[in-house]
Amino acid sequence: MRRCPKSVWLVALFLAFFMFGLVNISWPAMQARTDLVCSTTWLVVEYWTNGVYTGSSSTPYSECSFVNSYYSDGGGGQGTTEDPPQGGSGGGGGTTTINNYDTNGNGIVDCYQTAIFHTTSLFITSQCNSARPKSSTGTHDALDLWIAGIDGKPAYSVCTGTVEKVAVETDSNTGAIKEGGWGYYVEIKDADGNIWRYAHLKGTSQDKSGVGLKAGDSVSAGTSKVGLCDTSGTQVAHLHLEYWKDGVKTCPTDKLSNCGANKA
Amino acid sequence: MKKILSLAVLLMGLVVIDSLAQVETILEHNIPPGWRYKSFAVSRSDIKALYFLPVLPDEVLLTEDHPGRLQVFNEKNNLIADLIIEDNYRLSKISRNDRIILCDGEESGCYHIKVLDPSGKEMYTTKAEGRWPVTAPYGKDIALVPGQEDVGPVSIIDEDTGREKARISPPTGKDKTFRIAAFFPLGEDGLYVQGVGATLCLKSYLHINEVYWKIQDIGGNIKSGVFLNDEYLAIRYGTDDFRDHKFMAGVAIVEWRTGNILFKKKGFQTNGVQDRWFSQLESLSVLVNNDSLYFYGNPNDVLRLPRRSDGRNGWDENRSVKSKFSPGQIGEITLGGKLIKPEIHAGKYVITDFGDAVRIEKSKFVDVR
Repeated sequence: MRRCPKSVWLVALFLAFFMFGLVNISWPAMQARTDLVCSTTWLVVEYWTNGVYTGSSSTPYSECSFVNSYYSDGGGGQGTTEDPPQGGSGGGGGTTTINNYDTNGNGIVDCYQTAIFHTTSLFITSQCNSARPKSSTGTHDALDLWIAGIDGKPAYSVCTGTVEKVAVETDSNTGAIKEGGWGYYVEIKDADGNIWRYAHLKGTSQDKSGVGLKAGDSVSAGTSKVGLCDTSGTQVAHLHLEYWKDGVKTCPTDKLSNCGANKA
Repeated sequence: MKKILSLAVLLMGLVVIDSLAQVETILEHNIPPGWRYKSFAVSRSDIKALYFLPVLPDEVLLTEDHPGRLQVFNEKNNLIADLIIEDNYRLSKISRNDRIILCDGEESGCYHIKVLDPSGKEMYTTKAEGRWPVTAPYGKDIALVPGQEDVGPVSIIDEDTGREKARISPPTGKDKTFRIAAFFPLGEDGLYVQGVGATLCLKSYLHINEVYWKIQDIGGNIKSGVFLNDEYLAIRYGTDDFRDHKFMAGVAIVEWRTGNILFKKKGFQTNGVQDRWFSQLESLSVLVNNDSLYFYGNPNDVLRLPRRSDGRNGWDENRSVKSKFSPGQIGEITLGGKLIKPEIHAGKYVITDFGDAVRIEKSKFVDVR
């Protein structure tokens, strides 16, 4: 067997290093890019005549969506926890190193009744198992929280995490804030990748939380403001708190500690 | 001296422009004693509805069943219906055929919708199963559409009977980015525009194999949309890159009959810094008024884009003009020691709640030159 000349080995070695370097240099950029992914889905339409099911029809259909490792769609399924973002001011509350509301440092406030409004006079006006509407069998699956003079008062994050979304729910016909919807709302992703939604905030088009929060900001449990309370989307000012665990709406008290709530 | 004179002329011009801004009051009405104003709806034929809550402490309204009150006015502003609404129904909207739609849910969509004719007579109540009603600009289709973050089917019901005509399942995609993010029933031949992922298309539930047009990639994942009028849709889309702290918000104005994109704009947020367009586009604060396209997210920095002058359909960003709401409409008023702040409703109306009366005016924009 003929031995390769030394120069060939050197060239090969150089190429190997070059390729390795190229991959390592380009990898972060590749990860950070948002990619358009198309897939064939099935469109199913059921036919109903006078309220009676009369059959269905289905057809394959190609649709596309932007995805990447870091894209997060509110379901908490695709993690962003491997490299927590550093930027952002944390809104009106900012992030602070002193955290009296999370004494064990687990990223969740010790007692939500005192932490959310920084007061002990919080009332739960609707529990998770409350009927919605009150006369029906539908359940609320969230907490409605209220304090005297709540309109315009700040609410604080129950978890340490990252702002996932700052948005407003609008009506597709009128473009107005949807009556009965979330109004202005903020979503925070906690360290486990689960989502906390705070609804009915006093936002504007320019500042949807009312406290300057932006997607990607960092927040701390009990010390960062998530918004100002309002009547947006609802009849009476209150804070509507939802918890989405692994993409499934779950009662917030499954995660939050109870330290003796007032019930209105 | 020249500068001072120019400034004086400019200020006088602004005063003249403001004084010329005559606003149109579409309804002014005394609030019934014992009630407080909550919401308003108007139809294309100028049927108006006001919805009131009882004057009760907030903690009572939040924890106990309470009625609402609905007053309906014809195009001449004569009161044609005045009724008490039970079971926590609230005013949702009025359809093109003047059907008043009430919804009984909160946050998670309507459990039921109740449909009334303009005289207040109930036509039917039907289950909505946690979805929201979207009415069609033509015909008599009402779509029941999942909420902004929800995955689920869309049902098309008949506006007159409430009976379900078709149910459109969510795509069998792999994750939530493939949910139905925007849905617009059109009321003609079963047509509807649907946005899933980054793809927008026109289909019909009567002709399932037909795709009349398709925009495979509108520029980002579709997040929501709104009818600008009977012909145009505004579609909000975006991409979120949490790793690099780059967020994009875009709006495309689409003519639903052709699928033509008449206007498209993107804004960016990078490392927490938003450009001028990002918040405007992210909140979908856009409307068409007198042939101009308005972005009104910032009431003091409204952007008016006139129609294109080259014969092509659409609006010309290069000829954009800074505009604002008529200051007389949105300025705060102190009345009897109480501060009254008019509310801008979808950019189209300005609502002033005086406590004992409510006034609704059409928005008036004035150019700032």
